[in-house]
Amino acid sequence: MTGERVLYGVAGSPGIGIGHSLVYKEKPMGSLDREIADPKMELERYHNAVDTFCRITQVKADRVAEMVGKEQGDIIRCQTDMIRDPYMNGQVEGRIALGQSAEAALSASCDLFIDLFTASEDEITRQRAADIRDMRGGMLRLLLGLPEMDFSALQPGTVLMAEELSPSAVSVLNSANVAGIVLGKGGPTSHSAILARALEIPAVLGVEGRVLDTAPGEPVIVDGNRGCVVFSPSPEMRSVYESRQNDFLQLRASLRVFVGRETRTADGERIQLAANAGSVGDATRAAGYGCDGIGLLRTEFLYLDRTSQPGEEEQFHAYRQILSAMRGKRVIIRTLDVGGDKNLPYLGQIKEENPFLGCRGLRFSLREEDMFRAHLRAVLRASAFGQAQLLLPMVTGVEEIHRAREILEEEKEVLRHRGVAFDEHLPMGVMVETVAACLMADVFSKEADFFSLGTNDLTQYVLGVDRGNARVAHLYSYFHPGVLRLIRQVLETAQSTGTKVSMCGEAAAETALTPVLLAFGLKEFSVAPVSLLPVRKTISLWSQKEAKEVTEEAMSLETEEEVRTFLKAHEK
Amino acid sequence: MVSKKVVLRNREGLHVRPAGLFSNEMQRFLSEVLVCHQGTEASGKSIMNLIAAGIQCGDEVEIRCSGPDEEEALNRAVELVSSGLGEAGGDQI
Repeated sequence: MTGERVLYGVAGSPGIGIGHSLVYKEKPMGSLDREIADPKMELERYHNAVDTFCRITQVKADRVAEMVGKEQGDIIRCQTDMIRDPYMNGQVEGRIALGQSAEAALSASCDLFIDLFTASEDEITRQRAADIRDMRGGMLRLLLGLPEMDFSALQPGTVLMAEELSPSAVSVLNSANVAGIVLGKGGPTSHSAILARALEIPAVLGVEGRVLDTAPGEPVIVDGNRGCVVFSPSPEMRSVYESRQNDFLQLRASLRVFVGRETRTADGERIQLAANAGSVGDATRAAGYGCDGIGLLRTEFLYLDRTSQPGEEEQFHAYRQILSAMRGKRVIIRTLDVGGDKNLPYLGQIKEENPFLGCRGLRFSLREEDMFRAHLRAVLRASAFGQAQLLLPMVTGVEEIHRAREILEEEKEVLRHRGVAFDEHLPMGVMVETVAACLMADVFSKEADFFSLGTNDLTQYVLGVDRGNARVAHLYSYFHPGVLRLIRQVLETAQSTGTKVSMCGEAAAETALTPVLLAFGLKEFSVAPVSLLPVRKTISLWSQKEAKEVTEEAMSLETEEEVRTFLKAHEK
Repeated sequence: MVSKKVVLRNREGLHVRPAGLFSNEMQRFLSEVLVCHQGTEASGKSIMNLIAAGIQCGDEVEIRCSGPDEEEALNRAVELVSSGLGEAGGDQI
């Protein structure tokens, strides 16, 4: 053992692992070349091995799917597609027909694809070479009758060090005895990294220097948050990391108990907690934490990064997919909210002098009516597959809601003629994100089925601050008493008219504001998937009585700084 | 032969899972399915070919089908690509 030394890599899976190194090296398989008696029988041997491999892999994939999720299971299952790939098969069969052994034929065919993938300019494709090596290893062990390395029975506190670790090897690791993983190869997009994250094992990948240059049993710290590995740490270093590990585990554990739980205040009141989503991935991640549906689906994801607008069909498929993923829970679909900071060149948007005060949100949709109509038809059609709701962004006048409603009814008629199923009672709500909408909430409530408080834009309109302008950005804050007074007013108005209100801006995820929002009467929060557990936990710590007391005092303060300091000091 | 151009939308490109889904679906058709991308042709029935083609998000590909069920094969291929191959431009895997 030598003195303390640190190697740097890429943070592959968060957490701190403290333990002892175990170096894993793939044993050389020996020569694969062998005289074969009959190519026909050799081919049969190969196909039998493929069948067995696919069966074993399917079992592994099912286990991973059950343990960590369907997507992770699919990663493993794809090896069965690879081994049965027609090109792969052609390569192997050709070589066996020429007299090669099944092992040699398979190995050479895999090398062909490994070289092809490794030569790619694309990082993701290069990472896929690891999946083929994994598949080759599994197949060769079957053909040669070698046992698989048993990773399931390691000493507690093992830090696994390897040049590369296959996804199927990572999938059987147990976080109870594996303290961390350190790999010479791989990046955060490698399948092994994705699995390590799902299994909550800290991992550092792509480590520079010689990873395997360590004595077996050498003390090691794996810092999966910062992406470094400390060998033979000094006592000081060790104690620093012990306390970091403690903090990390406490935070994770305190949040974990909230996975899949109903959201309730300390005095038992049920609060709706939904997720904001901008992709199918967000929706599935949110469903993993448990939530009351999607409180804001940003449809822009379908429109960005492309050269032409998505058609009705394509949108319909995407919305339907998210509705099915949420299994009957509510999904609030916000109509296209471009303009402002989101510009789509192919829609012929003109660069505006002052885009946040320009043609954006519903204003834009009402100008581009054909596109808006296709958008609405897609949402309507998807509404047959779950509990969809429609949300209109950037509304300042009730006549805009009227017009949108007219168009919606016309498109319903179109679909009726086409004989297409949809939800006849699809609720239509409006974003309350302009000062006009706040002040007109009583009038809007006659036309809108629900409100969604968009605090990000509301804050900048109320305070007259452009968040993107560094000289004034510090003035942007939803702790400003003016912003809070307006939010209170909207919630009071909505209460008197019986209109449901949810809040989908960043303010909803600010845990220092939680008591204030509860005291104002907010019953529906919608936050980014990553904020679901912290917000659920914070709500569970406040009773309505306590929240009212703190809020009363906060609302008596006069400056943004006083409010923020006071609420942060009382944060639970 | 029938063909159509489509743009791939999956954020991480045509990687393992979407390529697996696409090739599995295409293997159900009798027709030959080619995915043409930047001057190279990949078999639409081969997951390995598709991954090696390194098709990125935003890339335009031309799908060519020829055979007895070429229309059905092309329709299904276009539908698969434009519906986001099971992930609609979402999470990376």
